[in-house]
Amino acid sequence: MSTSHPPIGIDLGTTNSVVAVFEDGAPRLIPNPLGDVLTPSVVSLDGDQVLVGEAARSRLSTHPRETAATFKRAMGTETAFRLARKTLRAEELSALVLRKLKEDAEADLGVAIRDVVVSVPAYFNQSQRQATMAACALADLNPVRLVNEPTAAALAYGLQDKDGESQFLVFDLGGGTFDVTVLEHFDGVMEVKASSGDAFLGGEDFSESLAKAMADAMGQPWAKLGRETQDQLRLQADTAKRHLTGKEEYSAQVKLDGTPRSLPVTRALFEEAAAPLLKRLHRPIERCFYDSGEGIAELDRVILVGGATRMPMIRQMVARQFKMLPEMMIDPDHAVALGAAVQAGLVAEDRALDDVVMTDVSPFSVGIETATKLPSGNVIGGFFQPIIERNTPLPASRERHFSTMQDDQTQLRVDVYQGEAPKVSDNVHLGQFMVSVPRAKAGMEGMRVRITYDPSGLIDVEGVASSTGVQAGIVIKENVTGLTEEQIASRLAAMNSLKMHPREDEENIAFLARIRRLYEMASGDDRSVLQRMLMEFEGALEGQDGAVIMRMRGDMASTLDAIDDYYVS
Amino acid sequence: METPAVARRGRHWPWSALGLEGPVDLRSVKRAYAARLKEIDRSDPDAFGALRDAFDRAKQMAETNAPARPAMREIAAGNAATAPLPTEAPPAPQAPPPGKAAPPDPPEPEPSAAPTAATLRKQRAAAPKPAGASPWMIPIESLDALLQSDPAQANAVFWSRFDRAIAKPLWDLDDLEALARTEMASDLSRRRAMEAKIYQALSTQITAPERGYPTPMARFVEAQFAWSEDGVGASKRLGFRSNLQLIMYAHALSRPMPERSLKERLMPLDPKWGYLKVGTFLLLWLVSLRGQAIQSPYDVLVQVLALMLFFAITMWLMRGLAALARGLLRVTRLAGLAQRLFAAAMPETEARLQRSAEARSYAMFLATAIALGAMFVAGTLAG
Repeated sequence: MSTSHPPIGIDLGTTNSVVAVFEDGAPRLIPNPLGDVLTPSVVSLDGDQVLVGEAARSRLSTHPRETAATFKRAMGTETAFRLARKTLRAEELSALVLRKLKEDAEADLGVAIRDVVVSVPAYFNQSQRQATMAACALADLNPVRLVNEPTAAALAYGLQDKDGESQFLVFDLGGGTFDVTVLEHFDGVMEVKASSGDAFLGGEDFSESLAKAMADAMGQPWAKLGRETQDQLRLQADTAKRHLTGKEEYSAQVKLDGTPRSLPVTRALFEEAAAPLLKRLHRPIERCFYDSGEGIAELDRVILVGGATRMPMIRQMVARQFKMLPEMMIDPDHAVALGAAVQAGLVAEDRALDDVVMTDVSPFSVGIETATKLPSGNVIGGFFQPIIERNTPLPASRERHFSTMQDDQTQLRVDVYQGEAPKVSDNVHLGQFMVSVPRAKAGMEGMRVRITYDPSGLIDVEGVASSTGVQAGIVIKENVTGLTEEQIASRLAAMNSLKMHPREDEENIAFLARIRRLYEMASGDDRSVLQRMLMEFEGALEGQDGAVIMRMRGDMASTLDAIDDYYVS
Repeated sequence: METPAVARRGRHWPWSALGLEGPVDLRSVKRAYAARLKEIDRSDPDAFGALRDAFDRAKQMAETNAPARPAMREIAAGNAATAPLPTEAPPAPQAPPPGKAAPPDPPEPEPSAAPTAATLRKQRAAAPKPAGASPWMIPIESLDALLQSDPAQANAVFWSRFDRAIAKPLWDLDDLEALARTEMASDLSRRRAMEAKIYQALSTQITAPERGYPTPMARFVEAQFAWSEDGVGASKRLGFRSNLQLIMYAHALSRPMPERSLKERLMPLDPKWGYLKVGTFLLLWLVSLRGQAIQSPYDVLVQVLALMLFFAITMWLMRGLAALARGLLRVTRLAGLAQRLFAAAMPETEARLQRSAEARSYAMFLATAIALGAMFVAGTLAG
């Protein structure tokens, strides 16, 4: 890799995204124009203009129809999001977030950026990883490597303690995904032993379950509430969740049929609502320990990563399960981005990292479909025969021999799947090709199938007829469910018509969006105060006097904070 | 690329691949691996794989002092005392290790799979019992509380309840569910032992497919241990010997896999064989023509017409036969459905695969006999 810019790592999260740079032997987070390092992964359309980040998040409640959030969950699927009159896929929305982060990084560093390392949940499958690659292409970025989020976090922690030797576990509960990884660190080698997880379990699910519990507590069936009430409850549940981290009780303000109501939310209510989710955390942990061949007693440290691990019930669960106090030395929202930057430094062979090596494992088994003959003479097909098992150190390349089942069979179909279920129908189909063999009796001819997993967790398959040596194979590059190269090119052109809001205005726009959001939420006197502020601020913006605007923002901020505290976070 | 011979030697002498002279301790193996790893091209799967294999072998050999992981069967049979799980302290139920005043996970005695009166008596004697508490008197829901005050007793109760629940041919699923819900059951080593015991209890069903599993039992196992969802892991953990065992299990989960007759084509035949057939047919016809003198265009016409007629009759016969075969298949499929419905009514004594194959061959025989009989009757009527 030839870089003209320092190594960049990006944590493309479900709730927040972060960008970091590796310079002077250490990773550093890059703030956005608002001065925050966390950029909410929310996209909103304002006419032809695109808003990303804080301003877009404020518009979630005021303009829900023009705003999209938590689209990382739809990566690798066909789901389309409707924003105003445009239809966008998860890749495109992610690309808009990436583009925003790229601009922030370019403004901070003063150089153009192309090569990046992007983090993905360890439990992302092939199509989700490919969708992430596609999102990078759409943002005009070159993803030199995808790094697993828990591995990245481990790198961020490992760099603090270069010569140590330890076994540790990373417990990564993000906004939308859960990963658990067991690692060993010795002599500068960061070795992932096993990884497991759940790609659809995260902080957002905890908010959702609390929102439903709140609806129940009010005696309203969740399904019968309109979309707007549901969204409002979700927002309130999210706020309540944050407040319950430090307090035992929080009183949520819910507007039901136009009448504001106050609803007490206790920790006990939340814990009861989240109990089934907590249960789901156990299985990946169990799997991870079995696969790593280690016991809980051998662990030296447990590291918490991801904003959702701030919840006290998660910390209690972790402490109970692993019988030790979990660590949170690095902000759980920052660790992944910092680690991604370290990984970018590793890929760019940064001098400061000469003595550091990281090896990761395959998150899923990969194999092909096979059939078995029953005693009755019938054939049962649809079996999954793994060739590379999950948690094999990467890069890995393995082959296996398969033979014909019928006399005179001349073709062998290779159907490649990724997953753990014994039946292929429960796994993810990656691709298909045929291998031709000479005619012979059943079982006399066959092929060798070789599967290769690269360090980013992407797959290449090859089949060779044993007797003739004729090759057939596929590199599973094109997105399984989604976009081909041409589609990416055409969508890239279409996306360039979307204009990003100019960076200089960002603070003002976010400020304006915040006043509007509070106006929607507030009632009575507060409303009229906010309305006056809105008019004053808009007037100042028209005046275009930077100093006046800045002074006004400073004056109003404390009032807004007070109102915010009263109504929402 | 290594030759197979080198690779084979590497398995017995992994140290040279790590740049070592011979066997060393674990610490040195790790250091050597780290040094080599920094030298090789880590993007080359073959070079990395070879080094990795050598590392794993050397590590395993260096670890020979450490206890090997006990096999599932040993855990289930209660021999875990001689081969402790890596996560467990050596079992010493009467004397909890000093320094841990209230150990959150006390070492547990492993009762045998089928608790005898003797072992139960021993456990009860070992546990300083609350007045008159028999394992059956303590509600499962209170086990977690008991674990705090009297770990040994809680363990004994847990396992005797568990063993009793799976000892019956039809498990006591209410008890099992309640046990699985306790906080105790979320302990990893305890879960491993539970799974091993369940596998043991099911082993007759697993190795003798004709006995089948009752669906509710399979559902419980799936909810707890995900043998079907995580087949790769389960096969590794338990050593399912073939896909057939997993099919039986999937059957019990009421998610049967479709069977296919070998006579049906597994793959569409290559179209070139079709062209070849037509070509051969034409060639034979030309050869047969060679001896005859073609005197007029009329002869050619007759030959072509004859050929077309012959081809049409052949195709018609083939299609008829194929349709008949398809019809027969449909009949057998109906028979299979009826048999499945019947099986659902009395699942636990069911020999699913065996019987479905028998029913199918019988239906095939019946259909053929009826068809032949009808043809015979039609023939005599016409005659």
